[in-house]
Amino acid sequence: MPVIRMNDWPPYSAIDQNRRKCAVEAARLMANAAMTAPNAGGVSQVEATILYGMDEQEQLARKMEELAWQVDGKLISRVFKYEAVMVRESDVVLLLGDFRAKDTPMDAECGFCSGTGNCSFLYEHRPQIHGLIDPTKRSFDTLVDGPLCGVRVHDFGYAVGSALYMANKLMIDARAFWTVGVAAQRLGYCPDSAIQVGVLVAALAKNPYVDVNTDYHVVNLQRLIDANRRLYALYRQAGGDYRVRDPGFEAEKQLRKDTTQTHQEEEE
Amino acid sequence: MVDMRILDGEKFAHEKLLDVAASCIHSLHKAPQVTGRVKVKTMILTGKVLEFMFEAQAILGRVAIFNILSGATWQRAYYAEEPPVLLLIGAQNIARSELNWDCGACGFKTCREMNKYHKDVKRGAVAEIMMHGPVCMWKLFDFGVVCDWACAACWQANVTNRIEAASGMCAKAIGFMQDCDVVYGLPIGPMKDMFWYSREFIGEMMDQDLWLEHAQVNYPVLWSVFPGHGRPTIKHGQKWWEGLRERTLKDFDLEGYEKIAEECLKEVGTVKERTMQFLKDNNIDLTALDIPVKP
Repeated sequence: MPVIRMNDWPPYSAIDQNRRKCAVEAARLMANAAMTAPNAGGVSQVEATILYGMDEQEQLARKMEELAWQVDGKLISRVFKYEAVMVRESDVVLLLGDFRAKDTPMDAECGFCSGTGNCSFLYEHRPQIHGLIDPTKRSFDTLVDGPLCGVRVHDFGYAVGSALYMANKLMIDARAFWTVGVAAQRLGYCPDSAIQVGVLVAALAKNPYVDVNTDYHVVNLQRLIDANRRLYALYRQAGGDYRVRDPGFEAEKQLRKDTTQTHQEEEE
Repeated sequence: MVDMRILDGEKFAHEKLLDVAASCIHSLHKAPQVTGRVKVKTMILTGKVLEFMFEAQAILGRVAIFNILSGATWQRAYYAEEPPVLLLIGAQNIARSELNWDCGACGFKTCREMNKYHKDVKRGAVAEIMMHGPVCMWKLFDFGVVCDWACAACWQANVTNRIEAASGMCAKAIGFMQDCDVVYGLPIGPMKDMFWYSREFIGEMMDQDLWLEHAQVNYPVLWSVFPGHGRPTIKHGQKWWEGLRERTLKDFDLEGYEKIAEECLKEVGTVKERTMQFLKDNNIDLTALDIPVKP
C-alpha cells in the first residue's frame, strides 16, 4: 500500500514535491477550463504552458525583475518586483496566451481598437498585405506588442476567467498577472501569443497573492528566513567548545540539584 | 408547522431565474481582475420591457446581423412564455486608462495618448452603433474575466445561458446603462438545454440551398475547380460540370452602409424615447438604485 506524505515544509523536499504535484494537476484542469471558455464564434485562440520547478520559476522571476529596472521610477516597476516574489512563492505557473489577438483579428469591425466602427487602427499599425497581417514582425519596443484586436482580448479574459473559476472550485489559490505574461513572452513561452498572462497557483496555508506588505521585494518570507540564517551564523559564535565546558549542561545540573533539594525539604 | 404548498415546478423554477441572476452578480463582483480597477455595473431586465429591446435588435440587425440572430432567439423563448432574464453587465471605465502602465497593448505608447485619441476620435453612425473604442486592453480583458464569472456561475447552476454583445448593445441603445462604456447581455434561461446554441429558428428557416449559397460565398475554395484553366469557377449542383458558377468580387457600398446605419440610429432613437416613456408610465426611475424587476 503506497503512502503519500505531504507537507509544505521544507520547500522542494520530497514531501513538499508530493504536495506540489496536486497543484500541477489543478493547473492542468485550469488549462482545460481556459480552452472551453466562451468566446466569439467558438474560435480556438488560447495556448497554454505549465511551468514549475525552482529553477524554472527563478528564471521567470528574474526576467520580471529585469523588466522592473527597464521601467524604473514608475509604480509598475514595483509591481514587477513584488509579483516576481510571488512567482517564487507559487507552486506552479500556468501561462495562457491568445495567439490570434495580433495576427488573426476577429475582423468584426466592432470599433474596440479604433473607435471608428472598423478595424482600421489595428491594420494601420501592423505590416499587412490586403488585410493579411505579416506575422514575421515580432519586434516591439513596448511591454506588450499592440495594438491588439479588442474582441480577441475580451475573449481572452473569458479564458483566463474560466481558469480562475476552476481554481476557485478546486479551492486552490490562483491569480492572473500580466507582468508574469510579459516576462514569460520574452523567455519564449506561449510563443505564438502577443498577449499572455501568468496565472500563479499555490496550495499553501497562506494565499501568497493577498496581504502583500509594501517593499515586498525586500521584505518577504524568503528574506526573513535568510536573515535568520545569516544572523544565527554569527550569533552561534558565542559558544565555546562544548566538549570542554557546556553552560547549558551546567545550568541543567544545577536545576536538577535544586529540584532534588526542594523535594527533600518538602518530605521533611 | 410548515404550510402545505403544492407548486407548479416549472413556474416556480422560472420565477427563481432571478435568484440565478443574483448568483451571477455575486460571482462577477468576486471575479479576480488583473487591473483590479474595472468598475462593473449590472441591471436585470424581465418582462415587457424586453419587447423594446427586440425592436432595437431588429433595427440594428440591418447593420450587424448578429443582432437579428439574438433577437429571433430571444423572441422564440419570450413568446413561448418562457422568457429568459436579461442580466446586463456593464463596465463604466474601460475607455480611459488611469493605470499609467504605458504597456502599449492598445497600440499607443502611453495611456495618456490613448486617452487623448479616445476623446478626439470622430465617430460615424456605424461606430456609434458598435463599440466606442479605443479602450484599455487590460481593462477590456478584465471585463472578459468579469463576464466569464457570471457565465460560469450560471453554468454551475445548470441554467442555460450565452453571453452576448447583441443584447447588451441593443439595451444600451434604447437607454439602459448609459453610464457604461460597454454593455454585454447575459440571457439566463429558458429552462432548456443549450437553448442559445443549435438555434431552433435557424433549423426551421434554413434549407440546403440557402445554406449552400452562404457557404459558397464565404468558403469558395472548398468548391473551387482546377485553377489551371484560369477560370475563377466553383462547382454547383450534383452535376456541377453543367452548372459551374463564377466567383466574382465587387466593391461593397460603404457609403450606403453608413447611410443605413444613420437611419438605424434614428429609428432606434425613437424606440429609446418610447422605452423611456414606458418606464415613466410605470413609475420606474433608472437613476434610482432599487429598480423594480417584476415580470
